[in-house]
Amino acid sequence: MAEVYSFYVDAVAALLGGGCSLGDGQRLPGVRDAQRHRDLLQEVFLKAFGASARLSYDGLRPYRPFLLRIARNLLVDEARASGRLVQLEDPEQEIEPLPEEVSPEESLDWRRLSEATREFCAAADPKTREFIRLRFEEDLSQRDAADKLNVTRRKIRTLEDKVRTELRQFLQSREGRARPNPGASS
Amino acid sequence: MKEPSDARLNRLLTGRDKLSQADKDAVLEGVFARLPQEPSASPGPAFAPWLRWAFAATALLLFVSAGYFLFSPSTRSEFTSRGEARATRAFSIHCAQDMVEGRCARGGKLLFKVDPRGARWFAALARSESAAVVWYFEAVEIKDPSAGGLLEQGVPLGSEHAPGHWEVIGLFSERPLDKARIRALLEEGGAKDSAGIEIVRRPLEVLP
Repeated sequence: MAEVYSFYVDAVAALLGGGCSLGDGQRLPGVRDAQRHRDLLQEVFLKAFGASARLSYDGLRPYRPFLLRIARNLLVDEARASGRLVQLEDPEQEIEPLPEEVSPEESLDWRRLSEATREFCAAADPKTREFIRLRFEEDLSQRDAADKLNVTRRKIRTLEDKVRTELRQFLQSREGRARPNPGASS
Repeated sequence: MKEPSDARLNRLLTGRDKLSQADKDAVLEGVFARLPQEPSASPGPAFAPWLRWAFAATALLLFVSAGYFLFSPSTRSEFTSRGEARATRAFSIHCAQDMVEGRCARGGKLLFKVDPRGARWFAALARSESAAVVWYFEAVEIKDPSAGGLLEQGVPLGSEHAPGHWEVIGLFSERPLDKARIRALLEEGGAKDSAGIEIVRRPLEVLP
């Protein structure tokens, strides 16, 4: 299952992020929130690897469209939950992910936070910087990062949690400084 | 400011607004953690606690007795192999579409994962309950299998694979084997250890 997951995860993630065409010229939007995107991705593979889906899968149809259909249906549910009326003209139509659409506000927000993150990384101690470089910038798996740093995978998880906690605090404190509470000055 | 989520922080740390490897790992861990147990691993009928203890005690007693008979000095001289102990070679079969082990629908493709432990060649065939035989391969070189031990050769499950229970027989050897030799080995009912041949069997369920 892990190999199937690794093989298809990027295609499913692209669909969940960018959405797809509904066939009538309308676009089914993707999910922009990173955490929601990750949650939906998990939901897709949970459904695909669940006992009922595995038993009902005939082994003949290509697996990619099967996964993309699950992802598309979750996006439809997501759109309907937010009050958007979505009609599926042909539920069996071929699904191709569309490129992500980023709004100017999102782009601005991303640039601001990226800059702050770079500042955070530059101020980190050399060991933490090396960990961030391997695990995040080079996107190494936990196992490969652990091998390179000569530590256990458990240690990698601990380091990940620590870096995220510190970055979160850093971003919040920076934001606090940038936007002082108006009530505090009176 | 809304508190940034773990996924958002991962993206910021990678410097790309895309799914990071850390997210992929977290998702996979979450999937495995939330997947229900396989039907075969589901609990059986409920027994009273005292009955469960009784079963456990009986099993322990049988285990100890078996150990005594197998390893007691009187039997050791007769039946114990005197050769050097060798790590067991193994293989597993997976359906290419979903990597489920030991079960695949007709029309699907069967993949082999091997753990050769020094063996150089691998042969495989399948035998159905009605004794029908399908040859998969006679001699595949496995000295340096790919990462994960997955063989490049897959076996399409065609019409010759009647739905039902099959047994896939794998033979590890140090020299390539031909069909006649494999047949002879199977008829003898075991592998010749001196020739470095090891026979491993795996169940396969072919779905309609």
